[in-house]
Amino acid sequence: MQFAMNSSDNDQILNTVTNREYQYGFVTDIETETIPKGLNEDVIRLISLKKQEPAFMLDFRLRAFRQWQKMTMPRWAHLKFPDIDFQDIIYYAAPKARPSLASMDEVDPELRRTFDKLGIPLEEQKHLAGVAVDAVMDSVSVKTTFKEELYKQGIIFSSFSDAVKEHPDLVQQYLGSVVPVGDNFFAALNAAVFSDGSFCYIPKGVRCPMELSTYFRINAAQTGQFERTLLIADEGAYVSYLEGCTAPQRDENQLHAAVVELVAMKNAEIKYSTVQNWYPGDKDGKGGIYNFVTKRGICKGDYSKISWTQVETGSAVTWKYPGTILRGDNSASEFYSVALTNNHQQADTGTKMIHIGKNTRSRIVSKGISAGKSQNSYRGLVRILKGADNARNFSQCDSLLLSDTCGAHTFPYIMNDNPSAILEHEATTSRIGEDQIFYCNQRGISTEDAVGLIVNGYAREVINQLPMEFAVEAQKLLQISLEGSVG
Amino acid sequence: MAHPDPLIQKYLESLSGMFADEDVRASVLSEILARPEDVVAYRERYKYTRIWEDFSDEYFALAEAESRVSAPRKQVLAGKIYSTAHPAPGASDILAEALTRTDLGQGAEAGPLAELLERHPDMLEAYCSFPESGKDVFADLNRAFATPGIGIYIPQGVRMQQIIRVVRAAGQGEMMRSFVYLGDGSESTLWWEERPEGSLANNVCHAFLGKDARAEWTQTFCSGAQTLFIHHNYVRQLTGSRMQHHVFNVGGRSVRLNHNVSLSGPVASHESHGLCYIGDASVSDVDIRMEHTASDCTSNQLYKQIADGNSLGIFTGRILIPKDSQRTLAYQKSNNIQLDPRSMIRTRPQLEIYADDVKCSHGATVGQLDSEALFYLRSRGIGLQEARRLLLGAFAGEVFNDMEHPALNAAIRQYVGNHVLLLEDIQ
Amino acid sequence: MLSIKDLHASIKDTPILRGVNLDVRPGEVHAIMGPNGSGKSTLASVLTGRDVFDVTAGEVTYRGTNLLEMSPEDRARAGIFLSFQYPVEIPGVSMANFMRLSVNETRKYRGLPPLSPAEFLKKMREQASLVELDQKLVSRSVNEGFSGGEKKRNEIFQMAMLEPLLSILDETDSGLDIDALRVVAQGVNALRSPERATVVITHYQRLLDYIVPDYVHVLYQGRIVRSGDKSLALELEARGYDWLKPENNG
Repeated sequence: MQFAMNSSDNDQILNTVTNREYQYGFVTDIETETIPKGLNEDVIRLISLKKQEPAFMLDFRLRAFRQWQKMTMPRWAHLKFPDIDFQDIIYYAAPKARPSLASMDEVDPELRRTFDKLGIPLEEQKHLAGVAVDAVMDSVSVKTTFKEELYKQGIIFSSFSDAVKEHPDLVQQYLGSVVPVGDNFFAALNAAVFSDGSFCYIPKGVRCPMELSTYFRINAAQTGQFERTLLIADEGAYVSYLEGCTAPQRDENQLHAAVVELVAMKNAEIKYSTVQNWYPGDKDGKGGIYNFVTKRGICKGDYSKISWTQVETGSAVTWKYPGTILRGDNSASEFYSVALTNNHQQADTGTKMIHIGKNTRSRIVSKGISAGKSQNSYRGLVRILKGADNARNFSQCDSLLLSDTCGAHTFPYIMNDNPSAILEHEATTSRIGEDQIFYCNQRGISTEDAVGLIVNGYAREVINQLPMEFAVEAQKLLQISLEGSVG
Repeated sequence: MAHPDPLIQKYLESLSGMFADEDVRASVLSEILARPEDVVAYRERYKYTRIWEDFSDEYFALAEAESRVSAPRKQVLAGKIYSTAHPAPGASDILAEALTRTDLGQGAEAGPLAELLERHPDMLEAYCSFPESGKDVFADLNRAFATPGIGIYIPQGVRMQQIIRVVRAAGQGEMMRSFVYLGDGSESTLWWEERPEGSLANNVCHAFLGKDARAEWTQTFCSGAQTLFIHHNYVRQLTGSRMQHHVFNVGGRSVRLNHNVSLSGPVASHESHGLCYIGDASVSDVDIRMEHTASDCTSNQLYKQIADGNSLGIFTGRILIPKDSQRTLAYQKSNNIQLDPRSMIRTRPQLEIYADDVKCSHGATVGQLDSEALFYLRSRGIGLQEARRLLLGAFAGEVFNDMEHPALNAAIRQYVGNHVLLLEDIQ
Repeated sequence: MLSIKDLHASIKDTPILRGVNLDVRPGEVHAIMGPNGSGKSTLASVLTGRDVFDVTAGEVTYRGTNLLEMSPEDRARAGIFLSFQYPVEIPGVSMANFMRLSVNETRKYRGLPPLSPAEFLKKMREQASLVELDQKLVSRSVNEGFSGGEKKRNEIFQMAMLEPLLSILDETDSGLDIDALRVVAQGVNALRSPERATVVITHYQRLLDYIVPDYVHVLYQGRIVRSGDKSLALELEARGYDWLKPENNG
């Protein structure tokens, strides 16, 4: 699906851009229930108890925790950050709420105002037509809209906690099937302590009639956010799914370690889009979210397809490689990414495409934009296994440099064990063209706006992969994130 | 002239004795072993070379033992030096054994490194200007056990017309350090041929190009069926200098080349082209580090691998552009062809860019010979084997495009064709 | 010379040719016409041995031998030439080297000695001038950087070099302006002789004004649905292909 932006969209974007600061940096004053800092088996049992989980969940968590204890934090990425004291983090924080929410009226008004302010109204009638939202604040899901309507078609869209209660068989079958508990340090940590997230199941042959989305919000101080998303598209199903993230402005660094698992059965298609705008820290690099995320999909059935699109503008540190295991024959995957870093942000992001089935295809388009004193790395792996006859990959990763104090790095690895594969990789690194900026200046456009225009043009190929409303959002975000980078 | 690295200084002091001092060895080994985190990094760097099969965890001890038994070390410096206008793979016009210092005319000399360093203070000064990286376990081992190898000295302003050719057959467990020195404004064409035998050779070769010097340096590797051959180049180029480097790996069970280049003065340029034919049961592992230490420099990497039989070909290409290295041009291309279903290819470009006024591009392709081109040739009556040879010849030919010395170009084509039947017909 | 009987061929299980019958005798010129997707190019590919197509039934005899069992290069050496619709670019392989190999391999197959370099170069010059192919192109890599028209001339130049017995021209006229078309047709006509045959695959009858066919066949949905003389081509030009449909279906 492609949406072209017309010029009035561009105008609108330019007009809207007046805010120089991170605009989602406010804190919601709401009564929060937290548990004490620190991590041990008792804390994990407490989380499981609070969530009234069945035994398999506690078992899953404990297995993960025991593996995690033996692991060390990965340091191979092109990122500099201090050691994290995992005993100095609160692993569970939830807005205090009435025992059960029967209707929208029962949602805490303060909470509703928070999501309104973020542009995510929780009332279905007010919301963007055709988008169902699961809103997650700190450790719990606050509200899932359109849940009942979707269920009429057999689509299960709910918070992870509800899914554990209502569909334990499905959860048990797929949880950890794509990202095993011991996959990596942060995935293991997540598996041990995750508190909520979204769950989605699209039954055989159903095309999900609306965009599904999850909105993640960190609010409480000194808390880590560990959510988990599990999305299953059964045979012939289709779903487009979006996630957005923001957090308040704080001087401390907060940890976010999420896991996303996607399963696409035969002929199924999943489009997974992310607009990541966690608090990036201030101009001097103080504060901001440490974002360590494991996202992986499996094209389990023949002719299945998974598309990843990500627009990454937030977080102080990003460590994230959404990948696809192409197991089914003739399965396909795409990865489209824009990663913009400014000030002292650091991003090490890219993708992994693991080709196992025959005639599998993958395509990677990555656009890195570095400004200020930031460091931006693309890291990718294309792996073709022995049995993956006639696999194809095309990768393009470009880097744009906007200052002489930033860094742009590229680490694209190819590992091929099957000579019938055809793999191509192209990449360029260059700075923004002075002649382009001058041309804009000469037409009366300020340098800052010109840079915004040029960057948006540069990112167009990726932005166009996003559903319409989010594409506009993403363009605005790019513009805002660049504020103050020219000068 | 004191070397900044005390280990190298001790090594230099011990040159006259030919052996690296026992104390030097002990301190380097303890230094390596004191950095367990580096050992992890070493392993990462050598991850695909089948080195760990040979060394496993006791590789230090093994390497040490090996270096002890390979006495007498004086005989290690087996090699021949030629100076010729028309090199040929089987040339007979031997100029000298490398053990003897040889006058190449116009004040240029070749011979034992220790002797040359003593005779030429400018050469010694240049040698001391190389920072020791300390980030490579095998380079460190070489540092510990090094014996002086061949030196080549081209004085300032001298333009060598003849091609200098070095032919070496490395001995068992050899760890040799050689040095090629080109003074300011000098020019030289060099063919350095390595034919290591025995189970391990781990050599370092330094090359220094003074201001505006020009070097055309071709290395050919053809190692024995049992040899693990590791070769490290450290190239340092000053302002306006230019090097055309070519490397051809035409055989050997396990060949690892570390080609480290530092463009230390502005407007220097370095072209590094390589062609590796990796036969059955072989590994070729090429690791390039191109450091643009100064501004306005240009580098270009073009590496081609042909993997046949049950083989593994690895290309790692790092480009580092620090903050102040503005107006840098850096290009890299890795093209790979797999001829056999059992063959494997790994490419790992690594670009680290901290300056903004740069133009960098890199590209990689992995695949088979183009089936459409094969069919086109066959439809014109050219047999399948012949068509494959033609296409491989065309694939390989690009590597020769920048080899400017016509006699050298022809000789190397012949050399490669003699070793690899499929490459008899390089175009 | 060439006898095709009930030829069926498919690509990845999709049938393209569904029973083609055709006889070509020495000295004849056959034109095969038909709409897009009717299987014209597939027929040319199958006759020259492109392995992406599977022959599922039928037989093809060329000068008394089973053509389908021959390798692509042996078919070429035995005198079958295909002028490709889309000639592939082969960077790094020079035209001269390529043609020398091709000519000498073909000569070897026919029991002739290889041409000496001088003889070969002389022949190259002569034949290149026949199709007005710029000498400079001959010194370049095969088809690399050639314009569409130059590529087509290059095909006819190769045909002249190899002196085939059966030439198959696959859409050689597509993308050519009228001058280029005339030059290409001149090259083809210069090679006409009682021993040689030509199969012209084309969309339009335009080329047939220059290369006059003895027979015209219409290929439709993988079968030859109608054969006639040159007037059939004119009829197709006037009426298109649609009028053939009901006939085919019935």
